[in-house]
Amino acid sequence: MSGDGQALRIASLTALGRMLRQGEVTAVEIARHSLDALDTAGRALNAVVTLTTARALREAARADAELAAGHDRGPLHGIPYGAKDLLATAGIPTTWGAVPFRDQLFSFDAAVVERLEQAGAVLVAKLAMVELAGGMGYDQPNASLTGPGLNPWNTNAWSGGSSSGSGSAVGARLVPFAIGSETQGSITSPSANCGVSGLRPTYGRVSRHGAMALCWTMDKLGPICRTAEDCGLVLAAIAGPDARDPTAANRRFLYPPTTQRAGGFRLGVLSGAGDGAQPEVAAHFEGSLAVLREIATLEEITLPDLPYGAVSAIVIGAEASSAFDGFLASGHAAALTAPEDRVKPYAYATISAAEYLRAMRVRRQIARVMDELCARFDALVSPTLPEVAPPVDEPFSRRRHRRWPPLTAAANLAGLPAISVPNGFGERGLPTALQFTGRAWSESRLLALASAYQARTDWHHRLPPDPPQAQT
Amino acid sequence: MAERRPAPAPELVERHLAVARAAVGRALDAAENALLRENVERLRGAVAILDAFLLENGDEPDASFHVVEGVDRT
Repeated sequence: MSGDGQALRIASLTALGRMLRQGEVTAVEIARHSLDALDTAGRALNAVVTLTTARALREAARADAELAAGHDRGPLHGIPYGAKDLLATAGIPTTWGAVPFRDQLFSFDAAVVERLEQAGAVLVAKLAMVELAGGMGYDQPNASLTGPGLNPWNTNAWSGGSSSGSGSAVGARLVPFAIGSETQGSITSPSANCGVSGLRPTYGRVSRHGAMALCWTMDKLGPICRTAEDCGLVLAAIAGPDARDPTAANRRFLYPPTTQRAGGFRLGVLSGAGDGAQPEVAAHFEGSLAVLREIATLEEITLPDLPYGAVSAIVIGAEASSAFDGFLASGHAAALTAPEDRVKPYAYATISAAEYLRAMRVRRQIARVMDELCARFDALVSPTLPEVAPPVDEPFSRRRHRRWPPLTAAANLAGLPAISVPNGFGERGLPTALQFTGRAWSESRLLALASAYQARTDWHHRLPPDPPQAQT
Repeated sequence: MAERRPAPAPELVERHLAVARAAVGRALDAAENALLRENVERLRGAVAILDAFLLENGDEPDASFHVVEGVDRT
């Protein structure tokens, strides 16, 4: 192939599509390149659960044949991707990252996988994740049937939580994009840790049919990509109503939009956003604000004092207890990888219906207050995480900076979208990141903002060291 | 601060811990017991925060959930 490996590592979705359409490379060649990279570096990073080789080569060959016949499905035509292994794929194991489900097979594809196939994308791998999306209360990176997710920028650091393989595979440039899921932080966190762009859509933007349920009223699916623009292209392919998921809203999402703002934004900056963060995180956030002043007016704001963490603990605990009721009663939780995951979820059984509803009543106040706050701005801006990726061999509870920013729970409880983009490198050469959070259904605005930021910076173009190779 | 966590009463924790232990359905070693206790205490703390918040701020009559919709001005 004339498109060499390095070109494929750095190309955006648009650039890859151009290479395909100009005949510089075929979809089969790109798929093979991605499959080879995933089989070596991907496995070394513990990012891969299953390579979907046969399906990938079939879909790629179809993509090539269609392009040759003049049938172009759009910007994802012939582009390989990986799916977090909580998305059902017909006849291919869907492990939910957990030993007790390692042989689980579904007879159908998740809605997101269907839509990506219709868009011409090529599924090359089921990607690693924290077991059961972290809903059992894990306290360490080693909480997955594939081992701890390793960070492509420093393999002694963690890649994620819980979409670890999606973050790592995109960060190591093994796939152009991946699908992750977020209940509370599981798209933005691995995106920040791995130096890539991750979009958490509004609750209800993307159908969850065929996705593992952890917390029905908070689970979202979204893209992890190299750039914000790529996130928009993928979201456009997967968003939309679906009768099989009644929460999927009947709203269109088009990308690129007919007109895209590049300036004149109004941003709310959370006061004390860098407090308690690692010094590099705080410094890079200040540097990002200086860049953003070129395209936006900034106003310092305070996040209303509401019990975000307490509400999310009760809502996630109660819903996870229900979603995994049979599994927990079966005793199979004893086979989970992290010792804490084998016992901690049984505490969820102590949450009463009255307590859950109490939390949901407070949650409604949170949703209203967050909307009132976000309505004043195009987005709230904050560091995505207070620290770089933690060491791979250390419990999170020992980390001084580990506490989630309150905005993470607040925005997830309110179902609000956010995009995380890289904004520098901190301790141990690991990425730091910046996050834009907006009103419900404001993804276009968030993408315009993130794209404008990325047009002025080059953090998203930086490449990690050469990918490690699998031990043989 | 809304997130200030009042310590849950010890007898309340013990009562809920017994429920959680029963749900596990097998004998637990000391380390497992400690993990379970930690999570029970965390959840009881969260409930106490909610109770205190509702007492101070009033109730919301409707427990259903809908995303509060904004208008995309892009």
